Amino acid sequence: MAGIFGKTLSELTSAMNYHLFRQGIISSNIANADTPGFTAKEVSFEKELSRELTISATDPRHISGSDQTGLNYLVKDDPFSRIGNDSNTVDVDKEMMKLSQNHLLYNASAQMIQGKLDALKEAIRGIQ
Amino acid sequence: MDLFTAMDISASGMRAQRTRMNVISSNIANANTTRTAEGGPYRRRDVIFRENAFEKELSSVEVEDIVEDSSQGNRIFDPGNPDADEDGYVRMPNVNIMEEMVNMVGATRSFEANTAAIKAQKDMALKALSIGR
Repeated sequence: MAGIFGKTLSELTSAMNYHLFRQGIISSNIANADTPGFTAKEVSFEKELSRELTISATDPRHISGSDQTGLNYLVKDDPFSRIGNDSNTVDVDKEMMKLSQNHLLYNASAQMIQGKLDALKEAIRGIQ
Repeated sequence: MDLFTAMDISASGMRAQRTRMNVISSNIANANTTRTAEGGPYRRRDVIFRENAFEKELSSVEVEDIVEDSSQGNRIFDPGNPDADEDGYVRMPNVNIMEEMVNMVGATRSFEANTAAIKAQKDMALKALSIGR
């Protein structure tokens, strides 16, 4: 998706996709906060991204050719959780913090896409 | 994974907590019931939650079973009670009101956490819809 929209939009879209996916993981942790034996999960995107970037650095075509929405997120067990007597590792306070953080970041990406489109609209309309 | 997947998961959490709440209410309501259809005093019930694979790594929650607590309740001395044995003792339900109240607070908080998650998801969906307005 290049052309008049540029690369920023597709990158922001993949950021929104990531936050949507992470929202699902957080919701699943909160829903299972009382399930015995449930292990909290976390998406590690940053690591995945840096891995992608290291590979890309060897060849300039890697970055431009990668499908932004096709990024695979790594879902793993949350390593910093406490374990209760029922061996459930969900820390509800932490999940709620992650929930609002993720919510804000998603909205921020949406806001930036909005700003981008507004600027484009402004340019198309021109000075009247 | 679309906008509503996370909402479905939180809804499953709310449903499970509501079932738990119903069971707790039943325990509290029957805290003094000495006669049941199966005979003997009421036995407190407990819900068992189970993780339910939803979609890839996401999992919702469901109530697998509602089980009876097999422990024995207190025997109290009440010779006038029609359910008293020959020594004048009545076997009471094994419901501990304090325990039920603590479980109730836990269920309420978990329910609230799930509603907060749904609120966030709704706001996110609205934000996405407002792009390009």
